[in-house]
Amino acid sequence: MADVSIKDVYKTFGKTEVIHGISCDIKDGEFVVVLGPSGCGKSTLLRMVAGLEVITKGEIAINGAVVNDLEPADRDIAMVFQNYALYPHMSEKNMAYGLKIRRMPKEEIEKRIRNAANILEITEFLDRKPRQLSGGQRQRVAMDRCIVREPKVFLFDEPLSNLDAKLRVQMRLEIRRLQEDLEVTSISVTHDQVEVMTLGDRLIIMDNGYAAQVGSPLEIYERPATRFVAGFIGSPGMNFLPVPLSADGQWVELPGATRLPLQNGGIPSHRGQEIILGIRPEHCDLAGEQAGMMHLNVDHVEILGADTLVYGHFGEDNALLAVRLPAIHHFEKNTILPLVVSTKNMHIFDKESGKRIGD
Amino acid sequence: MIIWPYAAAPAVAGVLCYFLFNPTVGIIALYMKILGYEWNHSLNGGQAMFPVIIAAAWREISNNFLFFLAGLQAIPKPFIEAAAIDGASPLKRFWTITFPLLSPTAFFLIVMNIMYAFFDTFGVIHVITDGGPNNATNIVVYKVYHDGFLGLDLGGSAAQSVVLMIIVISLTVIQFRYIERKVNY
Repeated sequence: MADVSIKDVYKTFGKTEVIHGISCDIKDGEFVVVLGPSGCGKSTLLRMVAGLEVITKGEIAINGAVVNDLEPADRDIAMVFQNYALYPHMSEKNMAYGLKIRRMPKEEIEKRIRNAANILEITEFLDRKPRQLSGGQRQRVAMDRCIVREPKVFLFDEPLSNLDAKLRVQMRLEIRRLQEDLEVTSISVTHDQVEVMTLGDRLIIMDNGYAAQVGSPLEIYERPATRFVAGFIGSPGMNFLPVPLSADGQWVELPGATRLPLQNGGIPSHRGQEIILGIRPEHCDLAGEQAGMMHLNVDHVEILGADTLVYGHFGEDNALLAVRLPAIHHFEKNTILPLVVSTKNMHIFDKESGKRIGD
Repeated sequence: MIIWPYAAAPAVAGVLCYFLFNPTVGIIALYMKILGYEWNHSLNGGQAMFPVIIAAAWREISNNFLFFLAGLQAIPKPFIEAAAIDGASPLKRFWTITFPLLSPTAFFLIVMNIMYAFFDTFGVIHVITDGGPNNATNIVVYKVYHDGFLGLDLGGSAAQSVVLMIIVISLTVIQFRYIERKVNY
């Protein structure tokens, strides 16, 4: 049980700086998920916490003690690797390995392995070598190898990316349940945004070596700090429309000449400028012919069962829009759909900086 | 550089050792004389095998090195990292993770090197000792040649080559049955 504090950490490989100063305090027992596209530095950050990469600048502390110069072995952490990294020539010794090296008595090792195997229900696979296990079973053994160590911190490097969709959902629940039961501080890295919403207490969204936003999943979903974050969380991604803000900053003009008043006194600071309006697909609703703010010309429909995704364009410059409607709808191509969106679900970003403006 | 010896023909490796160890002009023989050791492998049967072994091994080490290097590079890094996180020291990591994962390579090389020792050392022996002195380096493959082509005992030579084949086959079978069990793929 420990808290982890990451203070202004930088990482350079040769001359390229890949992490440009990240800070985050992770509380005892918290599950933090680092999310970002490939190559944004999220794995590097995790590997620095693990001690597998040297920290170029800044400080990482576990339980208040700076661990910058400690070997991975001395940091009391355990890590689940993306491809599990189970030692191919060991069966149950995979789990015992770390304990044996720490010279734990045999009975204690056996007790811990039995306990851990019970938690993840892999007792019958204990005598199998990794190549005799399926992907999901390997994942469990990899997690058990961490559990038996009873470390201060769990690290997960894209733990679910090698599993098929169904197993992924199941393991996601299991990881979450396990983490809650054991109350071990955990850091996970992923590019799967569904995983993020359900797994983490708190998220760090990384963009190109910077932390674009740190916050709870809902906070990030409801109030994304930048256009990048807004586009990254949610599927399909948020729609972005470049629209002009009125001269008094009180309303925006949608393509198709509809005026949309803004909440909370508008954005006087950007009056008359062009801004980026963000609307999530799931926040658009069908409306009556008269009430429709946008008249979407349907291009393509995907029926998912619970929802229907509609892709289309509207307005004179054919702005593209994706809409998620509940239940099943059969729309023909080129049907005109009147849509409404409530002002409280709109996000406004600065066109230049991409930062969230207004409310 | 390290693999260059493999490019040298066995006979060339033999000639190299022949001159290095030659009691009259060899530099190694000279140094041994300085150190007070009387070296004469063309007279002393106990010494004769030594330059043969050196020449044969020198040529083969480079080849083995290449295989081990390839084997080492094929070990995924996360295994080593996982072991580091598990608390193993670098030496321990080598013995418990790297070494077992090299076992397929090592096994393959054991089989190949034993076959090499039985067959391909012919050139080296032919150049350095001609099977002498007093048959001290007359291994089966050399004896097959010697009896058959020089002694013109073709029947005996053919029979010996069959015996040689049986020896090598049974050795290989034994290796596969007993050593391969300990190999992890």
